Amino acid sequence: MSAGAISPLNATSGSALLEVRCVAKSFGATQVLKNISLQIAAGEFLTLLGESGSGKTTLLRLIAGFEQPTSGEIWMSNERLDTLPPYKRRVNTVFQNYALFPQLNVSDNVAYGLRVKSTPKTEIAGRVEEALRMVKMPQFAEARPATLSGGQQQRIALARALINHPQLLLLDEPLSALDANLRKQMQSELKALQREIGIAFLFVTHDQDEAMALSDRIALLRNGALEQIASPREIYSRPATAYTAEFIGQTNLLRGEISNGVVRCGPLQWKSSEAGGAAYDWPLGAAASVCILLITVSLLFATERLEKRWSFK
Amino acid sequence: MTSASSHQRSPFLTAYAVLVFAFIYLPIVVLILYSFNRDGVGGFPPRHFTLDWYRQLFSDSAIWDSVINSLLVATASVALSLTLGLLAALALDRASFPGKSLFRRLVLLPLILPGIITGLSLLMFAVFAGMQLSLLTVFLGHGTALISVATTELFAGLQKLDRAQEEASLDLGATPWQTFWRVTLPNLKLSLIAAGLLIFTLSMDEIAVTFFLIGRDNTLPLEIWGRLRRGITPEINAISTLIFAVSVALIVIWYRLRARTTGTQTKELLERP
Repeated sequence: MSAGAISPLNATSGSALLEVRCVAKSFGATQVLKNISLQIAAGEFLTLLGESGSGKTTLLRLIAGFEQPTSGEIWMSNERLDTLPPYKRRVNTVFQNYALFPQLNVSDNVAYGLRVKSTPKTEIAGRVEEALRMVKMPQFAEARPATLSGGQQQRIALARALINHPQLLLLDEPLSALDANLRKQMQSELKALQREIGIAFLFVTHDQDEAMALSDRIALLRNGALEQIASPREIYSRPATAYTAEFIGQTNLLRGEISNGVVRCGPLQWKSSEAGGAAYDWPLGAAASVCILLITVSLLFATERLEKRWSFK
Repeated sequence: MTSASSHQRSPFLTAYAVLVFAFIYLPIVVLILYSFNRDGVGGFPPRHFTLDWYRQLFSDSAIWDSVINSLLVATASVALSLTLGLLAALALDRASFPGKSLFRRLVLLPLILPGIITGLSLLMFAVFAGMQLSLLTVFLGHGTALISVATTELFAGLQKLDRAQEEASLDLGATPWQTFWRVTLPNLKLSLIAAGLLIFTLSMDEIAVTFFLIGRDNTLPLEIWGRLRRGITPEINAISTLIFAVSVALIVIWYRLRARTTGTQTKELLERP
């Protein structure tokens, strides 16, 4: 896969906080993840993007420890992670439907991770207060989760996951249950929070806009395989495959074909070596049809670039 | 209620409803009335109100001994069957092991088997094991026979449980054991109370299995049964009235608990005029 060559972060292994090595996962006869390898750097915001059924949630659950990989390994800070039970892993999760404990009030929910480790009471009180302040919910300490709105429950779930000071926070479609306005607001707050506390976020979503807005890098999954992993700008402007281009940009795709080193697309044609530029491996000489991408970062910019790189005849 | 008032009420339907309710509740009403009748079960219609039968009942130590025996057996049976039933339900819900479907059917068997079969087989087992028939054998009989009730009820509760909560607990660093006590059990509270009340009631009025396993000390139903053979006395009416009152109280408590934990739906049903 050409994805590896594109991402500079993927090539360096020394700075990785978490490393997924050739992980595959099958449920019975269904293969959900196929040979996934990726790395997360400390403090990075990495998004697992993909349609439903692409395996992104499964990968998250493998890292959290709720599922075991069929093959492959997961490492965190030079320590093997996939052999540890979930309660011994130094990662915490924000669940899709928050999974707050209904029988406990907000501060008891947030304190849970400290209580089960017999943290001194005085320390718990301070850290709960700090966590609630961080998500701007200190006035709700005594409330029951059921009395809170979706957005408020979301914040409590965040505070509860962050109180253990994890180095990596896993977020499983945390914003998908919120309405559009609240979503936008939570997106920016989430990003600000991540910058503030400086820990790595692994964020699962099916929403490419969300991924573009939040991420340092995006890992696009398709049918359990890694399609491309790159920064938002790069994945948008230099999609490795037609699928990526379509999924990320929803951009205009034109069908064309290659023969004798010439790409033809209706009345347009140019040499494939020119068209390919630096980013693509054209299947030279193949009769297969290819997709031609018109990148519209800005119309002017795109036209300029197209004129520069590809000469229309 | 709004739909009923907007339609013409059929007099036949009303009469029919009255008859059905009379058929169900009239015997109970008669039983209660006669427990307050000075002339005992003979005189009709009841004329003179009295609490004599209750006075007599409260000084009848044999009855109260049997009530205490029944309470002991029922409480111990609830504890035994809930413990074993919870373990069985957990196994059925979470574990996968060879012979699981057979196990599921075997656990439910006592629910389907006639009490005579269960009682007789337990009696033979007790004899085989060389156990003296006593309240202990009655308790073991009730406890094991009612595991099936506990298992079904708790299995249903486990199926409804939000697994993400248990995962959240593990994720936050709680061991499986801590998770069980802090998340799983509190979530099962309602099912545990429901199963407990049901098992308690079933044990309190169990006759068939008890009959085979009873030693010298009677349980309440067997005491009443024994006295009935000597004829119905107003004292029996009095104790039956008390049992009825306790049962109604238990049902009300149960509905209240349910309404509080599951929202307003049941409560509305109960409190609608």
